[in-house]
Amino acid sequence: MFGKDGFQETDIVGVVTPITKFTYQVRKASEAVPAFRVAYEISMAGRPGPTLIDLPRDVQAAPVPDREDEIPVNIAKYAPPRPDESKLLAAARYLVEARRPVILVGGGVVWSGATLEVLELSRLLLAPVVSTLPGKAAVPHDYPLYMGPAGMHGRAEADAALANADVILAVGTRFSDRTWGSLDVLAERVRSGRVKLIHIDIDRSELGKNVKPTVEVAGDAREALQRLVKLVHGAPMRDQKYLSWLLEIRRKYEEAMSELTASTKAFHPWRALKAIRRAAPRDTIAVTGVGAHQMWAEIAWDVYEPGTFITSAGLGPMGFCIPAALGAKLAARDRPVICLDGDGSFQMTMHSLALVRDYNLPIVVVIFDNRALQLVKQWQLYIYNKRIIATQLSSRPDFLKIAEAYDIDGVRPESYEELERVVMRALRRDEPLIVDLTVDSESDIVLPWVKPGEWLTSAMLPPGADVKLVYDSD
Amino acid sequence: MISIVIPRSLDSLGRVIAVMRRAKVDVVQVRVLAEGRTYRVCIELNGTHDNVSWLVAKLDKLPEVLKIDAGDREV
Repeated sequence: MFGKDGFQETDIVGVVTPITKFTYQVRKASEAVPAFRVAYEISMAGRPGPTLIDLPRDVQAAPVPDREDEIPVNIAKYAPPRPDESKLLAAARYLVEARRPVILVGGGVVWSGATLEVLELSRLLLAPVVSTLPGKAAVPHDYPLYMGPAGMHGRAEADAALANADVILAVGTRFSDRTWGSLDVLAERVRSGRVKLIHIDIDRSELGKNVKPTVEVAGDAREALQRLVKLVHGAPMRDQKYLSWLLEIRRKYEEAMSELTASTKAFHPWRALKAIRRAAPRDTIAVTGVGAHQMWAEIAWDVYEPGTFITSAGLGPMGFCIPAALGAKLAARDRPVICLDGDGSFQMTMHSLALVRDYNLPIVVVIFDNRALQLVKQWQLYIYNKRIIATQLSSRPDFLKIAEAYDIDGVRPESYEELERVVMRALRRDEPLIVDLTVDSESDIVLPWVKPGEWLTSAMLPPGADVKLVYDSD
Repeated sequence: MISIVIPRSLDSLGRVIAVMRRAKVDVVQVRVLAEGRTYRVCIELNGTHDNVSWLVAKLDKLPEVLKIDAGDREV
C-alpha cells in the first residue's frame, strides 16, 4: 500500500527522523522482533532517547516466522567511554586550587545515579552545588550546600554562584541557553582564563558543542566522579565569605517573596507550593506541566529524594503533566504522585484523566489556575511592549465539573491551610483529587528572571530583594 | 571529507541527511555508493574545524552509522 496515499498513510519515518534516536520501518515479519529489541536497547543505551518502530499492517497480520533477520546498527558505540585519567587529574588540580568552585549538575547525574558522588565531592571541596532544571531532581534540597537550579527562572543564589565561580565542574549537562542566559559571556570568561570550566558528559557530541571547556571528560557521570573523588587531595583554599554571601542572597529572596505573597490577591504559586510541599511526604513524586507554574516549581519546590521531580525542560511540551504523572504512578504505585499543572497545560491533556479510574491511578492534580498562558504573557508584558495576544483565557471550562465528569473529587480551596489539608488527606489516603487553585494573573510574574540573552547577574528580582548578584571579594 | 558506512537503506540515508542539514557547513559534494549490504557515503564540505567536528560527532551518534572516518581520525 505504500505510496498509494491510502487512508491515514503518513511517512512517519520521515516525520520523526530528525527527532528520534532511532527509527525503523519493519518491511518483513522476520524483522519485527529484532527491531523491537534493538529499538529498546538503543533507547536505553548511553544517553537515553526516544525510538520509533513503524509496523505496517501487513507485517502486523503476518505469522511470526522462526527466523529473525539482523537489524544492522552499531549499539556498541553507546557504551560509556572510560574517563581519561590525565584529564581527571587536571580537573582535580583546578578544583583543589579554586577559590570559588561550583559543581553544576544536569540531568545526566540523575540518569547516572551519581547523587552520592556529587555530594561527596561537594563536601570534600566545600563547593556549592547548582543544578539545571532537569538536574534539580539529582540533589536533595536540604543538603546545605545546594543552591538550587540556575538559569532563566532559577534561584538567585544559584545564578550568583555560577556567575561568580572561578572553577566550574559541569556534570551531565548540555549548556542550555536556559541555564546560562548568555553562553557568549561564559565562553569569553573561559577563553580568557578567568573561569576554568570542566565538563563531564557521557555524550561526546556535547563536549565543546556550546562552550569549549578547559578540561573535557567523556564518560559516565558516576564513574568519572568516583575517580575524581579519589584524586582530590589537599586542603581546599576557599574564599570563606563566598558561601555566606550566597546564603545571604537566599535569605533576602525568601524574605522578599514572603512579604510579597502575604498580600497577594488569591493564591500565590510560591506560597502555595510551600503549603503543598508541607502536605506531601518526602518521597512524593512531583510532576509539572509547562508554563509559569513549572518555573515556580523550579524555584520553590523542594526535592528530597533523587529522581522525584519530573519535568520537561528542553522542548517545553504543554500537557506533559497528567500523562507523566499517570506514568509515574503506574511505575511506583506505592508512592504519592502529585501533578503541579497550569490551567493552559492541563487543558491540553485533561482527557487522560479517564485513566485515573480506569486503571486505578490515584494522582493529585493541582491546577495553578490563572486563566492565562502566563509565561508567554509575561514575555508579552516585559519584552513585547505589553502586546497581550492570545494568552488570556476565558473562565471556561469549570475544572470542578471536569473533575466530576471523570469521577474524581474536586476542590477549590479558599486558604493555604485548606489547600494543605486537602492535599495531605488525598495523598495519605491514596485517593485522586483535583485542586483548582485560583491564582491572580496580574501578580503571577515569575521572579527571578534572567531575560533571554542576558547574563545571570542581570536577573530581575522581586521587590524588596535588595541584593546584587556580582560578588565583591574585598 | 567525511566518509561513513550505513546500512543499504534510504531511511538510513535520510537520517544522515537530516543531521547534515543542521550543520553550519557548505556541502560541496555527496556521493553514495552501494557496496553489498551497505552504502558508503562520502561527504565533501567546507567549514570551520568546530562546525565539522559538530557534524562528525552528531553523525557518530546515529546507530545506523556503522563506521565513520573524518580525515585523519577514525571515529
